[in-house]
Amino acid sequence: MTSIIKYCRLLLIILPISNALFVENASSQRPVFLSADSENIEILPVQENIYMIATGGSNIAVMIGELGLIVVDSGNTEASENVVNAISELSSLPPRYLINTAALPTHLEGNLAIHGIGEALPGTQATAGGMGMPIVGHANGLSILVTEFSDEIPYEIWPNSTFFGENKALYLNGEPIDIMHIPAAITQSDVLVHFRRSDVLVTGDIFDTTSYPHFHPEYGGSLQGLIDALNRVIDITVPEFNQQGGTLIIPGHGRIASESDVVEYRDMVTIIRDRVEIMIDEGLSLEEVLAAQPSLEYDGIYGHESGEWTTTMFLEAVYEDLR
Amino acid sequence: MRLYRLIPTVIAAFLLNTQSITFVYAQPVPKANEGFDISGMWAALVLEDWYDRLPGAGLGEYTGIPMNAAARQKAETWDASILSQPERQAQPHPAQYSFRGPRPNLSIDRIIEPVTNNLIGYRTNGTYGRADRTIWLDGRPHPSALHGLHEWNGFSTGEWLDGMLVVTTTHMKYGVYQRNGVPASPYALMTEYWFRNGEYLSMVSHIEDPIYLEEPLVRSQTWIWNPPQIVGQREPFEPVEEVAMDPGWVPHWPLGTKHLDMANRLGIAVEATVGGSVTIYPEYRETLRQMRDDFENNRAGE
Repeated sequence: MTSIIKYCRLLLIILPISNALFVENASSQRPVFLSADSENIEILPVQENIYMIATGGSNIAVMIGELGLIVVDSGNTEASENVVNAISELSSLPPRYLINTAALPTHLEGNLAIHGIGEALPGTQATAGGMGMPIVGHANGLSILVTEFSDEIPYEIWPNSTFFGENKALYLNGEPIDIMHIPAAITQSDVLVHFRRSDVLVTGDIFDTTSYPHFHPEYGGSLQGLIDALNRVIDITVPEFNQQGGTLIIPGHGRIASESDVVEYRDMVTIIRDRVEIMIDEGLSLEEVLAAQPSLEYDGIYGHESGEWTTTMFLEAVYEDLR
Repeated sequence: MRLYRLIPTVIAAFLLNTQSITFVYAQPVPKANEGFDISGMWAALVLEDWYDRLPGAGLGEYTGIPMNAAARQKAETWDASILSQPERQAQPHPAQYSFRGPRPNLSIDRIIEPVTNNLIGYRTNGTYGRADRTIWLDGRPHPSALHGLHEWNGFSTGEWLDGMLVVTTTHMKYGVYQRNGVPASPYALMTEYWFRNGEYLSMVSHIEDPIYLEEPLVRSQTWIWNPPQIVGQREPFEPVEEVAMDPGWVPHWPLGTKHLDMANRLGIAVEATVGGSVTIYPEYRETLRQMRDDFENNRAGE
């Protein structure tokens, strides 16, 4: 017992020393995420045949294999040259398909550069209407592009191999690929892309580790559709052990994730939805809702004071969606 | 039976016990590349913060934690029923908390590089849910700060400094600092200082969290060398249907909920139970006295 007491005394001495060491040598902060106009990229292996190229526009998934590549999303134009170089580093073979997870500029601005290095497999060029490598997307995205972005995004890089139904399936390099339409989440054109053998799910902006979800009611998106989509992601993913590993996720923006990260995100959106709904039922105005800070505990992780999608914009969108 | 007949037995027991103790103290501390060795079986002593670690702090008991207003809102609206979500039933304790409780008794293995035979890391297990941690000693870099995967055990690297093994951990998941919902952000940076004193092994953890802490959270844990110890088998949790629930069920307390159990039980002001940096220093006792006096004066005036 005497030695234990001596040891506790030692601890009392070391505690302040360790405190001083730490304060001098380290710091922590939320990372500064890539800006939307950044030309910087980062390449990361994800799992099996799948890589992620992070850009300021969106994350890009690349599947490599002996028959060529499949690329999901294309990022911003500023990063296009670096993205093309990165793809060339990953494989000497060309992309065979490009898939867009939504008809939003941040996900398909870079289509031009990737389409330029793509080579259709025999027979698939016909499905793209003779326009080279197929660019796969849901047909609902075309109406968004026609009405909102026809000046901004040239017709030549719109999805040229669209589908109308709930699912589209591809198979390349021994890998089944499910492309699942999500009808009303971020937009009306969202798709999830599941590389089933590598067990990697690409979510587009449905899941974003850097921000509150930027859903667009003007393009057919909705808060409830987004929550449904997150629950769908949780249904698809299977953790390997202790709620991590197993199915890995490439989000629209931010870091590689596993199911439990989506669970936190789903819970966050659901809790904020519930709180704002109660406040609306109690007759609170938008200003009163904002003053009540219903997202306070999440603002440090997902919130932004400035930029394209601020915390206030998100709460306004939630309020308008529920009103 | 005459007592003197027991003398040989007592002497033998004493010698055996002495040998055992001598063996413990005389056990040469194997040298790692430098520093000391932490491998082996270690039993938790739970000398520090016993109440918070074994039974566990109740709802609204945040004393000793320099948490900010955002963390308090998250903790006060946290509903323990959320652990019944199928997606959360198999979650282990995160690295920010896993060495705090319950206990844990640890088994620490060396990781040896097979060609050079050098010690390149340690692997710890014994924590709740078996979120084994690996501490790399070979100087490898941490994953990408922006895009690397976060895990319950985080990513840890260690180096020897001033007689201590200093472990830096990043890439932890969104977790908790206590089992009553005090949140820990994925952007926390944890530094642990491991040191040995004979058969005692201690670790002081120092966590800086830009999202949820007003100042670093400093806590200590101590273990004692216990070679015969057996740490539980590696069995993953399996989610089951605990309650009937709709898909996407997310239980939570309403905004503005205050948990008064601790304040009522101890007869203290609720402000003293809700954490925050000002409440963790001795000077706060004067504030508590003032609160008590104000309370008594108000009651006398009624």
